[in-house]
Formats: sequence, C-alpha cells, structure tokens
Amino acid sequence: MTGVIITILIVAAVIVALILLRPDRKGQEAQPPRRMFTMETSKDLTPVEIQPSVPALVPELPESYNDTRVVLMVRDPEWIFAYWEINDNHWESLIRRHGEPIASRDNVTLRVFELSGEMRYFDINVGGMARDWHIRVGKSQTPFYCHLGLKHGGEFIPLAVSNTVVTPRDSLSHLFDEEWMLVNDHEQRLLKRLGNFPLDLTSPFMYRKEG
Amino acid sequence: MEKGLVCLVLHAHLPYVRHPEGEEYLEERWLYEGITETYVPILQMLEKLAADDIDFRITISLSPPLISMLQDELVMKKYRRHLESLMELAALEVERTRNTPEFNYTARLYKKRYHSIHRMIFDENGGNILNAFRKLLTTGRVELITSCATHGYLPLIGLQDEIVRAQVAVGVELFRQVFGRKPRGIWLPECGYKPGHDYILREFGLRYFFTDTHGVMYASRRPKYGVYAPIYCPSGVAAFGRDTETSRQVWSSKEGYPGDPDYREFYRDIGYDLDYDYIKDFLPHGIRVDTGLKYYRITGNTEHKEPYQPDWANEKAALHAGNFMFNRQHQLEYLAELMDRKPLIVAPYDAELFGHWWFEGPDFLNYFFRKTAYDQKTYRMVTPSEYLEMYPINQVSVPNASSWGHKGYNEVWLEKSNDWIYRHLHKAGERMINLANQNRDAHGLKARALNQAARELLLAQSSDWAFIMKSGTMVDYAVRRTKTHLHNFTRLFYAISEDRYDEPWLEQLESENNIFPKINYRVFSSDYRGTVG
Repeated sequence: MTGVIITILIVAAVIVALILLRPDRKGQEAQPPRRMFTMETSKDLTPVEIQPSVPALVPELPESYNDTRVVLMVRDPEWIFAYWEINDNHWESLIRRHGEPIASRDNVTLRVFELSGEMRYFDINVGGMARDWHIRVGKSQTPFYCHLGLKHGGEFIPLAVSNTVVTPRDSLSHLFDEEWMLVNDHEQRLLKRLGNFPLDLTSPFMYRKEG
Repeated sequence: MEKGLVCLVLHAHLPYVRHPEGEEYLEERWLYEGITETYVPILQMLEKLAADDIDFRITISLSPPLISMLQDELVMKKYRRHLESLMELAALEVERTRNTPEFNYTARLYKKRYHSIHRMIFDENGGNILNAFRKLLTTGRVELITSCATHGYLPLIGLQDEIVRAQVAVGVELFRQVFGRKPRGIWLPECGYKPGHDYILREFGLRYFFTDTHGVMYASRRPKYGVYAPIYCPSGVAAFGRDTETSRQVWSSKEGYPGDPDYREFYRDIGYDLDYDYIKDFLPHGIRVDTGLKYYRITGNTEHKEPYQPDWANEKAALHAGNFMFNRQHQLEYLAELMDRKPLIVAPYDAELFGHWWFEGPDFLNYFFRKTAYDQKTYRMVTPSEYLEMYPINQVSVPNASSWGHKGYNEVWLEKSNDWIYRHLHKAGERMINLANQNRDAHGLKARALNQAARELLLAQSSDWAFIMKSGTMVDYAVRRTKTHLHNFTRLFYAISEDRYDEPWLEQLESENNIFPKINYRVFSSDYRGTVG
C-alpha cells in the first residue's frame, strides 16, 4: 500500500517537475523556420502597446503660472471649454478684503455671457479643485465670453474676463444674397506693385453678380 | 468638351519623430512605414504616369515635419539600415516559403519591391526623396503645397494671431527653401479653419486652402454651388470644400473599397505571426511590431484568413478605379445640369491611407488616372490653381469654423484626454511672442536660444500629440513629447529673460530637436507680416 502511494507521489512529482521545468517557448534554441506557413498560429496577434525603447524622464509642467486669468475655447456648436487660474497673492488679497466665507474656493464661479441681444448669462459654480470646465452652451453661431469670479449669496465679485469665442454654425445659412469677387494673378501683381495697399478699406475688385 | 472637373488631393504628414538618442526608436518606424508603403510607391506610380505621358493631375501637401525628416541625413541613414534589414528579411522569406507557392509568390514580390525602393531612393535620388518630388514638379501635373510648421491645430493653439502666423510663415518658408518657389495653397492641419485665419494666409500669397464639406456648406452666406465650386473668404483666399461621395467611397467601413476581401489584410503581419526566434532579429529590441510583410487577404469578416493573391488584388484595384471613375462621371453629369459652370469635385485624402492602410491604394490611383485619361470624356482632372485660373470670379462667403476630424469641429483635439495641454501651450505662446517683441535684434547665443525656443514651442504645438492622447495608444509618448518640448521652452524662456545661457545644453537641444535649422524667431513678433510674392 505504502509502495503504491510512494509510486503515485513520485509520478505526481515528476509531472509537477515537468510542468514547472517546461522551457519557455521563447527561451528555446532557435527553431528552424517552419515550412508549412499555413500551420502557423497567431498567438501574438493582438497588437501590444509598444513601450518606448528609451524610457526617458518626463518633466512635470507647472501647476500654475501665477496668473489670474480665464480662457475660453470652442469645442463645437454646442460646447465651449474654459480653463482658469487664480494667482496666490490675488487670493490673499481677496481674503483680506472680503473675508474667508466669501473668498472661498468653493465660491469660484464662471459667469458665461451670451454676446447677443440682451446679454443673457448663466452661472456655473466651479468651486473646489476644478481648473477647467466643459460648458454646454447649446447654441451655435453665437459669441460668448465669461467672467471668472466669486459668487456668494447674490453677490458676484469678478476676478478676470475671458476672451470672446463664437460657436460654429451647424446648419445652412439663411443668407442667400450673393456677393462675388475676382481674384487672379494679375490682381496679385497689381497689388504687389501698389505695395501696402490697405485691402480691407475698400473692395475695388468686388463685383456684384448681374441679375 | 468635358462637363466637370475633379481635384484629387493627398495630404502627407507625420509628426517629427527624429530620435538621435537611440539606434532604434519605435516611433521612427511610423516614418519608415510611410516611406516604404506610401511615399515611394506613390512617387513611383506618378513617375511612371509621367513617363507614359498620361495627362493626370494631383495635388500633394507635404507637411513641414515630413519634409524635414525626409531631408535629414541621420533619419535617412537610419531608414537605409531599416530598409536593408527588410531586404534581408524578404530574402529569408523567399527561402522559407519556397515550398509553399501560395506565400512564395507574395514573398518574392516584397523582395522585388524593397529592392526597387532602395534603388529609387539611394541610386536615382541620392538618398533624398524630395528630389523625386522636385522632378515631378517639372511635369506641371503635380501641384505641391505646404502645411503649417508642425501641423499645429490652428483653431485651438491660435489664441493669438502671432501663433497662427508663425505656424504658416515657417511652413511657407521651408517650402520655398526646398522647392525654390512659394506654395500657392496650404493644407490647414486637420482642415482646421477659424474665420479670420484666411487673412493671415493671404499675407503669404496663399491662394487657397481646403475645408471639410460643412466648412463651405455652412458658410455665412449659403454657397450657390454647394461644395462644387470654391468660395472666396472676404480676404480673397479660396476655400475648397470636400465632396462627400468621394470620401465615403474610400473611407466608409461598409461601402469603402479598402475593405474588399481580396485586398491585403493589415492586421496579419509576420512580425506578430512568425516564430519569435526566427523573426526577433528583425524586430526593434525584440518587440513584436509590424514588419510590413503580410501574407493574407482580408477574406471576410472572420478570424480565418486566406493567403493573399496579389493578382486578384490588382484586378480588384482596377475594378474599383473603374467604378470610382464611373461614379464621378454620373455625379458630374448630374451636377452639370444644375450649374452654370463646370462642377468641381474635391477629393482630399490622407496620403498614408494609400499604401500603408490600403496596400493596393497606389494601384487604385494608378488605374484611376489612366482610365480617366483614356476611358472617358465627362471630366478632367485639375489642380486648385488651374481651377482658380479658369474661374477667377467666385462667391464671397465666410467658411464655417470646422475640421475634418470626428464630428467635424474641434472635439478630437479638445476633450478630457488632451484638454490640459492648452493652458501650457497658450502660456508658452504668449511668452514666445513677448520674447520676440522684446528682443528684436538678438544675436549670438541669445539669438540661438530664441530660435531654439521657437522650435520647442512649435514642436509642442503639433496636432499629433493631442490626437494620440485621444486615440488611446502610445499615449505616453505623446504626453512625453508635449511635456518635454514645453519644459525645454520654459527653461529657455527663463534663460533668455535672465540672459544666462547653458551653452552645452542649448547645443544638445539644437542637435536633438533640429527641425527648421534656418528658423528666425522673429516670425513670432507682433509686427511680423508675411509678404506676398
């Protein structure tokens, strides 16, 4: 009985050893190229993400540039994007002037103005750690700008004004009137001869289409 | 007399991936693959067309980073080694597959192809592919245009006009240096247009650019001819809008030609398929990557792939070219009825689609040009310049802010994965403008530092990094490039501001990031203007 157990154990040990010691495929001696290409497997077919051959040190960029500013960018006809920062000294002076409850990071707010008609605006509380925001404006071909400020109760203290952006159009224009222009090399040569001719002040080369 | 016109445009661009610090750098393979699979096959095809006196027209934009790499001695030396290793691999493959005729035929084609590429670049053109482009220019059938300095996505990096102007100025100037003439048109990176940028293009004598369909269709005044004629921006620069049918026929995953079962399967490459020990010497650092040798055809929507049959694929390319021509004839006949001038179809594509992604793409183009010349009379091919000479009067309207990226606007380059870069790019841009304004007459070390600062900023602005961050593969590389160039810029900014220079470090940067050796940092100054002519 003991002999049988020992035999089983030995066989098991040999099997385990064989499994453990099985040489890694990739570690084997070079195999002769296979003749039957059709038999090849594709074990590594899934493309692997390739690591750069020379791992280099990646420098970190500064958290802020010590500015107080807000910048708007256009994403598409429905969305714009804002990023901002508030200078540390500016914060301290805000705290001195308005006190902690008002000059709090939690009160940082973007007031987004629609630069058309009655200058409507809406506020987004972006308090906390946020430094940028994707803003849904939902309105194509409309100019927007924003104030970065502190909103506390009904009060809004503006800190910075952004640039103005215009959302793109997402449909055909309803303006049908046609204006036509002639541009050719002859004209270009003429202009060159004229030197710094103020092109935008007049449009001598524009032609309205007849009829 | 023809009824319509077709303008085919290829935009060739790769990010600046020159890495002198390593012998084998994975990202450099993007360029190697571009040369072997796209640029040279297309050049060879066009040379043959010219030799056969086929009346073809093609417009090719060569991005400044691509031009810079193609004329860089180190890059081309490394490419030569790469190509020679491919030739060696192809020879081994011919031997290995000698008893399997279904693969051997293809293996022999690869061997022949690599030899012919080697001969074309290093024997016929002295190692400089741009020489082949120069020769093609003399045929009058190829119009070459430029793109922005580092393919910066203008609607997002161009917070200040100075930044847009510098990107354009450097692209135009490099083109002039390389081809001895000013470009007549420009490929706005990713077709990214923002109203007003056309005034800057005009300063440089650029007559036209391209937009996606909705760039022209959604213009401020409804375009009378749709995208079948260009419109003039108020600046007088023409915007050519992309035709939808021609892009769908090539790009659509359902209807597109490149997905045909007879065409070569991109995702079965011996770099992944073959036994590791056999292939490892041909892999960079032993990492499995695409080698370019692929033996299967698409076969169908199945894991199982059949061997590639080059002759079938070639016939399919001819068939598709015929179909493409036929569709253009019908499209133009229809449009001609509706218009009081010849309708124009503008068909722009990424050059790398042809050959790299769609292996048979250059054959398709070859057949398309030949069939167009001989098998039909409905249309003829034109370049944008020829069109504008033919029709110098066009409707005036402001194109819509747009791009040819996914969803048509700026989202690809401005979303969660990449929106963080702009705060830094804008700040660096602002600093560069100030540096240029405050140092009008810098010379010596200071001028060198200013020029290098300009290079680092431009390299950081490349649209490719934001795109790669969004695409999700090789993200680390794109992040590293963005951060490194910005970091280098910032260090230079402080050095220049304090007038204290670390010359060895500057020298190292100049040799590592050596794009635009003749750059003049003054292109960033606020009073810099392009000059027409």
